[in-house]
Amino acid sequence: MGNNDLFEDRLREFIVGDLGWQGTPTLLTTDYQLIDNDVIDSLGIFELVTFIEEEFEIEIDDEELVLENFATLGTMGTLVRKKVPA
Amino acid sequence: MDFDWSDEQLAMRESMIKFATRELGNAKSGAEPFTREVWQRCADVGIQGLAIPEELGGQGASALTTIVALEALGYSCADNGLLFSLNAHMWAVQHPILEFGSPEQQRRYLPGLCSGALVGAHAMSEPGSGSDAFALTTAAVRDGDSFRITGTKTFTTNAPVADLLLVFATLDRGRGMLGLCAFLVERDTRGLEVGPAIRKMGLNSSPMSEVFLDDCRVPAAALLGRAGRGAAVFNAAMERERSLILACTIGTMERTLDESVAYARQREQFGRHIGSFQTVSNRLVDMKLRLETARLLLYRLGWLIDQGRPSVLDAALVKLHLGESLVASSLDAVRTLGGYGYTSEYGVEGTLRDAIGSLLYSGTSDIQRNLAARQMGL
Repeated sequence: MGNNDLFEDRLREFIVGDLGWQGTPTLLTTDYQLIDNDVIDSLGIFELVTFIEEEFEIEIDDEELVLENFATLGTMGTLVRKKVPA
Repeated sequence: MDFDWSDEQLAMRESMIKFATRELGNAKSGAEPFTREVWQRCADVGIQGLAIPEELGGQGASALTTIVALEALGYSCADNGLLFSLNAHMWAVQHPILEFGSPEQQRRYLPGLCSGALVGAHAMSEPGSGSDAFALTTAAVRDGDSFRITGTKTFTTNAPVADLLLVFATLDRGRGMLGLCAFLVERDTRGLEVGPAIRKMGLNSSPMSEVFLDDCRVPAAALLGRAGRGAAVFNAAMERERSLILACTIGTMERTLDESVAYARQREQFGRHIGSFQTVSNRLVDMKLRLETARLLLYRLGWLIDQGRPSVLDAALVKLHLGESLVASSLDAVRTLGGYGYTSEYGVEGTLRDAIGSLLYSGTSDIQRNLAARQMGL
């Protein structure tokens, strides 16, 4: 597991630990559909947005608040990676 | 675990009982909406400001202290419509402003919402979106430094008398919950109209109506929270509303039980007090059990809120159990009082009619079960 996965790992920890998802953590691969599979709901998305902004010190713009960006750990990681300074 | 109240909490309870007995004691949910004079009296004793910090005009009470006060109010005041309006104002308008408002918005509105000068209304439901709240169609369009809002809201508690409305609208229906915005719209804003009060089965002293927004222009400063994050505002408001909107009904259930027990002790049939018949006494024990389980669930939730712990599941359970218990016990009170209970004179039929709404508002019992199931990983 390289540094590229760090964002996804941290998001996975948040979903399991803070959002209280009670499924098997190994299911949460980078392309597992989080909304379609009821891992996160509307409340969870906003908690994730707040977590992402605070944890990675970035700001998610209004136009980036689209379901596609929060569909999987991978899409969230891509969004974060775009905004975190290299 | 400590079930004792502090001296401060006991004093709060006593003060609410005295106030409600003296000022509101004879009031019942009538056909007319509450008056601003009654609203002001409630504010003068600090009800609307219970959970708001002192520096913003409130009392800064904890959730548990607030629960003590509301329970006492419910015991001593039979005007369930007034109590409902107060709670809708506190949890669905004041609370989101406290949680999401800018310092300017908090200073502009919260002192007035606490002092009685302002009445708040929460406008989310629409003719086509109730339980499916995020399917709303009221649209918000950016226009320079302002937004233009167009749409229709319904079942808006307090709207006919509201000075400030928390209105939810979407920037883009295609984005679902992520396109939502929350706006603080003042009553005299051009393009906002309030319909006539909608008659209901109960809670008629709590006025409710439609709200029409026709190209209603509000400044960007009216946005509560950030654009596109209105669902977070709505969710926070609903979680606190689910938690506390029925706190008064613990007092209502206790009063109804006391009245039912007193009636069962004095009413004689077949040469005996009817309370000596097990069919009656068992029913009264069931009422007692509902009251105490509802009370314990609510107190535990208050403790969780005060501890800053997650309470989504507990809030759903409280709303579900208190609402269902209130209806069941109100119906049992009518059964116990028999023909007299069916008359308007004794008041319990009015309590039953008022109670039915608790199965519907702030999320139906079915929705509470859905919320709880999801929290249980189902």
